[in-house]
Amino acid sequence: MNAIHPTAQAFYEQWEQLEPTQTPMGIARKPAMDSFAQLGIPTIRHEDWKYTNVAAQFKAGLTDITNITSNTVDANHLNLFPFLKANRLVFVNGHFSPTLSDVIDAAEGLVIGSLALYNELGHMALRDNYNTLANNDKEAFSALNTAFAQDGAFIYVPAKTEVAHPVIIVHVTTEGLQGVINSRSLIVTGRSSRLDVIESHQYLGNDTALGNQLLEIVVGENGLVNYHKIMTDGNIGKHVGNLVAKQGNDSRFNTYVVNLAGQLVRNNMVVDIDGKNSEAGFYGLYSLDGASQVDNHVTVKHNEPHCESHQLFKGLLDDKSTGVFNGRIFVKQDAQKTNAFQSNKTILLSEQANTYTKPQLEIFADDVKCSHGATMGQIDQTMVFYLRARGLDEAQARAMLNQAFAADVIEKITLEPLKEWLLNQLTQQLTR
Amino acid sequence: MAEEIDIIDQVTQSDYKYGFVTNVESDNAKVGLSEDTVRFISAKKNEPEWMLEWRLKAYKAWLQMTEPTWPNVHYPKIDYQKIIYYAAPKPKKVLNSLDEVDPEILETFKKLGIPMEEQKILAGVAVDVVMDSVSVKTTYKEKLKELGIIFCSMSDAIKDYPELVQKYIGSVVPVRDNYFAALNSAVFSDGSFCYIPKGTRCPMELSTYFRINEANTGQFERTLLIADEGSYVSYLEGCTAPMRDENQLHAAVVELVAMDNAEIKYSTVQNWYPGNKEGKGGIYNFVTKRGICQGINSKISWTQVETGSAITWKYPSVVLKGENSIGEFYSVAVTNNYQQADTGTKMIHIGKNTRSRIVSKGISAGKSQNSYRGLVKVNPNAENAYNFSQCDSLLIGDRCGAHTFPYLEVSNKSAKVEHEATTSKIGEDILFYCNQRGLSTETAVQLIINGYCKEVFQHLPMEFAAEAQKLLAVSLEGSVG
Repeated sequence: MNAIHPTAQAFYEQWEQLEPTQTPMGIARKPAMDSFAQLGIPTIRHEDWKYTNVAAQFKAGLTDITNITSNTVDANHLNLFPFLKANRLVFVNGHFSPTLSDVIDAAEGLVIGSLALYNELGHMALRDNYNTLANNDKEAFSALNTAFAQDGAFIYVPAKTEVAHPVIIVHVTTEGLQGVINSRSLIVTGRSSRLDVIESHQYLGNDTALGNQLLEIVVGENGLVNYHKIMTDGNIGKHVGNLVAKQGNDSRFNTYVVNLAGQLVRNNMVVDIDGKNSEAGFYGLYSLDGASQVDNHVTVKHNEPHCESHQLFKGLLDDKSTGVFNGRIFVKQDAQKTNAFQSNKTILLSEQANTYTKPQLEIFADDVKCSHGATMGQIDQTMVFYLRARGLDEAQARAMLNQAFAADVIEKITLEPLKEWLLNQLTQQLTR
Repeated sequence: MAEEIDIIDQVTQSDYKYGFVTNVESDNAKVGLSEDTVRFISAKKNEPEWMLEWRLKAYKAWLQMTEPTWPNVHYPKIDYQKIIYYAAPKPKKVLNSLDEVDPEILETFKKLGIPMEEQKILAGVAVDVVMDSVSVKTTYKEKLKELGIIFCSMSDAIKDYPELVQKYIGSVVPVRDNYFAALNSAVFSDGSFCYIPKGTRCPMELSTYFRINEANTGQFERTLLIADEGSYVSYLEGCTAPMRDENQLHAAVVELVAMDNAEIKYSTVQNWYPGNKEGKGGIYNFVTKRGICQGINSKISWTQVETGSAITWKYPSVVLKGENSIGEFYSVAVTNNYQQADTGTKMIHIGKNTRSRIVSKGISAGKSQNSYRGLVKVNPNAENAYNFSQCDSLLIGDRCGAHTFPYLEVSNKSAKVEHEATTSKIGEDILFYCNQRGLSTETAVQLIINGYCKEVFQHLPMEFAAEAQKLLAVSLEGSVG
């Protein structure tokens, strides 16, 4: 074996202390650790991390702390989306919290619970699908996650089952921790099923650990999955999230990512459309202030013909915040009749805000319609004037225009109560 | 119709129309690259000491650099020790008229379809002919001299105008800029130098014809163009190369400097040997082109039609430093068979109220790969910068690829950046419409492609535009149907 990458050294030594098991999670650890030992933490010289200096976070010599932290937290500090009637799974520092969780939907074969538990039980869907989508050979954080993660959500929706209420997954990171918390989730849905998932990441306090999360989603044939990732709480959080999904024939998969905060947030989304006549949608909003940075990387791989994908990402950047968007549409040679669209719009609200956009198209099939558009600028003065002429003051006019700009993305959400709540949050942020 | 049949005949029969070898004795450097090679080239050209030092500095920088691997192209590793870095036609004697030029060279230009005799009469085109690295003949020099315009070979410029060369060479593309720029700086053989004095509008299109001639010689051109305050110049560059089986490396550097209120229009038609239908041979065209809008209200416009080369890898860029300066980039890149192109532009907005416009049209056919890669960067101080980019790709055939990699980096809130790109094939309904009106599919495709590229072609000088359309037809031979 080649030498271990310097940034992986401490992790490697720590990993060797882990107790080996023969569960699906246990078996996956060794190859993932070997891969991470080669890759190390990516620096800004790495093309995918050009604008997000995550390596700086690791200078202090962070290690995995998933195993050594407690999982008790005061429920009053959490936002458990009380306005929604839903199933709730709460994870504190990467561990399942049965007391805070609450599952209300039941159906034959339906599983909504802790990954660690079903890993021990050897659930069939987990065995078949765990770690099949994660790209541990290339993605350092993916490999790191597979090597260390202990727990996370596991949802299995059997064929022809519609989960009546959304599943809310709350990941909580408590204050005063130094290190990396790895959490791992898996969602498998069967043929003709339906599922709404809301994932919220909550960092309690300013000085928290770096959350490294990996979520694998398998969307079954003719199925529908709506996935929402909500990060709205305060100006906190260092977070690397990897979402890897695979779609079957005739399926629909929608991703909504709303970031109203985040010290350093990286959202990686990679979706393989492996079935014909399928659709994928990606809708993202990042409205930032302070020194926040949000980096959205979306890769859509069209591997089969007759599919469609849409990407819409909008950014509102105030103060010294930074927004990064890197969208990639990949159309395989045989994926004829593909329609793929991508749009990124950013408004800069301050002199010090930065935006970096890289919308990529890589097309190997000829009978396709693919396009992307990107704009950056500020609110049109004539629009402000129009509103001021109607009696609004400058601040009100701007807030209204910004709200209209950002609401475009939130309006795409189909869960009405969640949409209303997010619009409210947005208004509060913009009129602050 | 007769004309169209004619074109199709030309298209289907021609392999590489401009492939031939001229037998001119040449005075070559030894194969390989070392400090001695650099000294040899410098000595051969009777260069002053400062030039040699500059070359050696570049050579040392090059030694420390590694060949970049990030572009979306694939080629066997280049052995830099197997290249002859200098080949010059034997100096005969100083020539005063065209009759004294080697008849074989004149023959070459006849084959190219631009007989020199006619060139002389052709209104408004002065040609600085570069034949394997050394300028053989510079025409119209006298006439331009009257206006104070300097248009000569780089070697002459180093001798006659050392202060200008010393001031500007490497000022836009520093020797350490990239691997190939460093290589070029160390071993460049010759090129063109042009200086337009204050307030002068160059009355004719300046043009240079480059040809690679000697087998195994890399062509390392160096062009430096300076437009002083309030001047205007339009410069044409066209390339053809003889048919060869072994790959030839072409690593040129072009530097443009525009002062206050100056305007430079730089047009290129590139048709180096693209390799045969199986992808064997062909030129590697790794070029660094960059212009700087140094002064206020200055403007630099790049127009390129890229149809040749096995691999094209270049990004003509503009640094918009002066207030209110404008940068433009219009490009048509065509790839067929096994050609690969990774091309685009960089627009760096530094000054206030700077504007840039990018129009890129890519056409891929056969088994080729065509990539657009571009950067639009707005610095924090570039108030009211504006950019518009449009990158369209057209796919002909289901075994080719079209890729787009635009980088947009904005750090000023008053900036307005717009980017759009589309990828598609020629619609069957459009083809059907043409077929229905009696046009063959091939003619219809040509018609549609010409329409698709019109936005770029209209920025080319007239003679070039006509040539470009013909080139497009030749490049896409046999890709339809």
